[in-house]
Amino acid sequence: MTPAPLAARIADTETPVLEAHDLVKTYEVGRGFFAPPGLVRAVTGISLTLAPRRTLAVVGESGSGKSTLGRMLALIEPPTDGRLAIDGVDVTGVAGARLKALRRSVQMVFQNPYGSLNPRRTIRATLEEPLIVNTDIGPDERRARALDMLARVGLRPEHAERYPHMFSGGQRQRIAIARALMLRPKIIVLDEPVSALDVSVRAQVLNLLADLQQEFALAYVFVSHDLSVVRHIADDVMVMYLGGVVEQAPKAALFADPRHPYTRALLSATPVADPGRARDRIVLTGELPSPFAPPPGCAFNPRCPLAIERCRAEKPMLHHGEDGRRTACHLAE
Amino acid sequence: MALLEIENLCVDFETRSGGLFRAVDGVSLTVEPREIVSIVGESGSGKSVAMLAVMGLLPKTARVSADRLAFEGANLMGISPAARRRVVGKDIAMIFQEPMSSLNPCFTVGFQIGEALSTHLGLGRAARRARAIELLDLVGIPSPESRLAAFPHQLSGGMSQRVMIAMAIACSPKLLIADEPTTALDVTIQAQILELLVRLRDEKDMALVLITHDMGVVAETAERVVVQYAGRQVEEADTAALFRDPHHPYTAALLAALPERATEKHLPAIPGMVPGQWDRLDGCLFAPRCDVATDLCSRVEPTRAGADLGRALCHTPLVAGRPTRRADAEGVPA
Repeated sequence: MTPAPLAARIADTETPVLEAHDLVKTYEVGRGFFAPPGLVRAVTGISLTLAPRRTLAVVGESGSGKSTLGRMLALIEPPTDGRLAIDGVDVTGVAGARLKALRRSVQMVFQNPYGSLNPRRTIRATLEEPLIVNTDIGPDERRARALDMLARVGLRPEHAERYPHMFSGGQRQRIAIARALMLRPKIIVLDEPVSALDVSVRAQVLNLLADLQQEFALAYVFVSHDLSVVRHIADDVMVMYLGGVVEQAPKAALFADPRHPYTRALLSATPVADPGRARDRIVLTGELPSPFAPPPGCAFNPRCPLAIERCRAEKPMLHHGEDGRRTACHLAE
Repeated sequence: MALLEIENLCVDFETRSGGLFRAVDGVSLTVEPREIVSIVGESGSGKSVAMLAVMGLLPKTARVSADRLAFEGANLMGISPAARRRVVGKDIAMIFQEPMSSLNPCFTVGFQIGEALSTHLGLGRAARRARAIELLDLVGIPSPESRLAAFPHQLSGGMSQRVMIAMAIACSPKLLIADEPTTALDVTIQAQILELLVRLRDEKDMALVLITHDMGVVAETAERVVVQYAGRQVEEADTAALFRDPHHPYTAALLAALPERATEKHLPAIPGMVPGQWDRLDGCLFAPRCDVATDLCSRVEPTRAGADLGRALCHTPLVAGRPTRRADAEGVPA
């Protein structure tokens, strides 16, 4: 296996490869024949920056908009509003050949490796497809690159001519990661990449992701609901609730001293594999409110144990604190 | 008297090629009243199949055999389906992983809860309605009267699981089997559901068998743990003891592979994968992935160690992390 000196040399950890400013995504949803369509604000104004070799974890429950954010960053869905720059190039409003060229720098790995691989194509064909679509590399070179990438994700050359059904979940996720890497992207959006895997295999894939990040100087956007995985792999953590960011901080700071009541509840609700640990669990009552009718004021106020009158009336802004921490809570200001 | 006794339970499935695949191999388990026992294992470990065998819910291609399978002293093996139905759903109930697909989309919540009540308790219409409201209230569903007429698609995942639990506890079962009850749910909802299950145990004197793959859930909920690997039971111990000093190398490796226990960027992953149908070995099934395996392990199937060693299915169970030759080891050359 040869290392990637080129990718490593290009890497410059200071300039961000991904910059988003106030991204918004709204969906129009039909609510029956006679009712006017409703607007779902899936993502309500999110800003972030990401440098090479860094991992930004996006955490939240289902319905928090974390996957929608991931899909916008991966250029799968255009944002309704806001600005998105990849590698310094503004991608909002870009279309056609330029968009296609930009897409090569961002790739995505999906949650379910049973659904994300074409069952009728061999692994080699799956890996070569991004090259056929996006480059004019010849067949021999394509084949060589596919086999090389297969080796880098820990699979053997004889696997190349097999079909997805012949692989286990962990192996399939390796293949999905290999496919994402074929175009040598700078950013990979990983949408719950290890949620469908067993514990023993999950550790293997997390290790692989850590190795590949160093080797290819990748920036990861790691969308997950599993805080124990996030704590292991992330550099920065962004906590989302109902389409908005409630807290963002470097990993160590967030886990040591969560400022937002929702982050605290999320941390305390995560089961820890230590029976002796003292439990002071904050059990949230209720569930995520409907995105059709978000509550007035802070989106979290109906479930918040600390909510005061102001929370029900005024929406808290994202407050910039020390060490790159940001919190959207009246009480944390 | 033990509530549920299982001795040497085996489940074989007929495969399309005409052979038999052993999904559960010699599982033994006793559950005492009011106890919370957890069965942990990865996919393919046979944890769900073993409990489905107890419930009699396996398809016709399955062949179940056991030295003993008894509930409250009454034999469950070889009884007629009608006799089994009198127990299952009444004294033993089960909830499943996917609450959304476990409820019938065509009937209201109230009707589905009422079904068990009329079958097992013969309650009339008004009594069923009153009991259904009481149950929904018990599992923490707000305004239960209005929810009776709701269809499953109108409920969120957490609500559906609460309804499933309400159905399962409708006849006040003595044993509730929960098969990955929170895997499909968010962590804040998971915490609510686990809290509810433990509260029901306390209030209703119900024993709980919790099938899960999540070591965190085990640590916070269970009193006793059974670890399964590839259809075999590899270790059984009290929760605190298991996490403090795991005796089977698989348990130890599983705990070490948890991200929250990691100290370095690289996790101590278990190499390889769970053996499938075609790569069953003569010796210990975990031997190819075990880092303390010897030549003996790949040739001779290990016997079960004593209770002090967590009944570990291993030739050299770990003691304080070190493989130790068992005192009861017979004359097999190491």
